[in-house]
Amino acid sequence: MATSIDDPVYEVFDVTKEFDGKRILSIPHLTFSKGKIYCLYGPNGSGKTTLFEILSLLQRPTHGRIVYNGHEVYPKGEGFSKLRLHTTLVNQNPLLFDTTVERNVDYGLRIRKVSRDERSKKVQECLDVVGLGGFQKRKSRTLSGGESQRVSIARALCISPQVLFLDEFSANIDYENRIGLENIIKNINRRYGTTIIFTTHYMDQAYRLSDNVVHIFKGRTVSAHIRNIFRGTIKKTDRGMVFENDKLTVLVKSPRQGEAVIAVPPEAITVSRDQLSSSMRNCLQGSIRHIIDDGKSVVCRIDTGEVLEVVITKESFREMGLEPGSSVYLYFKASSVEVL
Amino acid sequence: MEFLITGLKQACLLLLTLDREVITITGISLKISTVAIIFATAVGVPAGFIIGVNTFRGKSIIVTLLNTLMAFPTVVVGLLVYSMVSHQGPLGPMGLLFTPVAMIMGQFILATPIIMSLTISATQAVDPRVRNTATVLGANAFQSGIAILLEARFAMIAAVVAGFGRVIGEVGASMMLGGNIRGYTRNIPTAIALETSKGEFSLGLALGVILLSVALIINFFLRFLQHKR
Repeated sequence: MATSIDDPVYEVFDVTKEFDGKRILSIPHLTFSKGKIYCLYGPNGSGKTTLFEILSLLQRPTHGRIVYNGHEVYPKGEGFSKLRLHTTLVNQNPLLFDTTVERNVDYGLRIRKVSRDERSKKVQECLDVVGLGGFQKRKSRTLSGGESQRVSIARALCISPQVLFLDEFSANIDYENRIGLENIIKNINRRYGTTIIFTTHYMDQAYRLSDNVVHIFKGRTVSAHIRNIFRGTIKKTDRGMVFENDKLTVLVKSPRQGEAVIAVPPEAITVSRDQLSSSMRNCLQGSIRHIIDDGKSVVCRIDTGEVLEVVITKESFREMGLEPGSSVYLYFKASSVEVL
Repeated sequence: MEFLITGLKQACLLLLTLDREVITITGISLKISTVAIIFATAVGVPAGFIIGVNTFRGKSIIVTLLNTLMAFPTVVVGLLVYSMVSHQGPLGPMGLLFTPVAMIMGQFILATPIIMSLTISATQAVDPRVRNTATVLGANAFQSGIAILLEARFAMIAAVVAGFGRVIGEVGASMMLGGNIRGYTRNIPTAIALETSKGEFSLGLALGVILLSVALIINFFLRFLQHKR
């Protein structure tokens, strides 16, 4: 979670959003620092898009205060128009205007009454940044999905935003293009010092690209390690409190019974190829589905009926000789399971 | 059959020799319908756009009403405007009856619902993301409106052309409001009606060919626009 206090560009205080009387977002405090890359990460319906749209002025919060560069945007409305001119958003399925690439990229400058010469220079520069130099006269309708996405990033970049919002920018794009886009985004951040806030549902991307990952679940920010989130019911049995759904049975420490959502922190899970005799009361058996190398450590997705994510050091990963399909045992304490 | 062939031959002759009468009648037709369409566009496009991009109570009623008005019988429009501009009507003192102005008024009433209704459809067909995209790039309400209009430009042109197609060939309102005065309010449709009733097929046929050509040119123009996209 972003708690850095150096040079905040956005500060969010007690922001809530209600829809049809139901609270869908509740953020007590969040800070975004200038020149950093942030990721809002969470499952569908977690409220990340709502927060995203509030920050990018597409939605109003129901309550709360948002400060942008020292100006109170909500509820006072200070600096609202400035914010609109200094920030921009690129959508998951970006829309390009039905005209040339150049007319798309320089749109923001045209409405800001920038001269033709300056516009054409800036368009050239922005298209070069996204690797589409020379595409000026192409009709937007003739571009591929990846090219369209890059044109929309160039169009956003063209207005030299202080904050660039990217909503699931690589959702419909193949792996190679995704990595290409990530490099473009890093490059933009380094070259122009642009603060970048993006949403994604690729965890590896969240950690690869951003300085800070803001985890959002059920409309709240949650501590970063909450990843293995499951829905089910908690019942009192003679073994203690047991969380159950049709795929998973886990011992938990919980004062309450009934419907619940639990999270098993990946770091709290011990992975072993053999069965252990351990004080840890939860033992699950599964096979490795997916392995992600995130630089410092290795993230494995293990199918035990439900898919659990675990984080292990590179060293033990090598020692155990793990590979997709390997059968493993997962151990974790009942007390390490968070009941949300 | 004989008279038809003779008529066609004479019609070709009239067209090839650029007959004065034919030219005058065509000129009046084009002039009156063009002016009517300019006014109808000035009213129909902005009104249709505003209705199209906004949601409000009673919108569907307005749209249904406009769709009904698209099929407004021309003689009823003639009757309505006649009652306004005739000597006993509220606009009587202005002496507009049997003038091109009265014809323009009639054609304006015929074309506006068509242009408005098709503009509503055109703006509603524009991807809703256009407005959002313009907004996040810094556009104000007016500028994002222009962005929507630009996206709908081809459909808008089609709307205006459809309005023109409706009025250039209508006879009812023109006859009642213009009075078919030679060299003044006699346009192609009223001339065809008159000449046919007189048994003068050749002039009627020549004018019919011109009317068909206008329709053809309009369609070629639309096809050209669609190909250009």
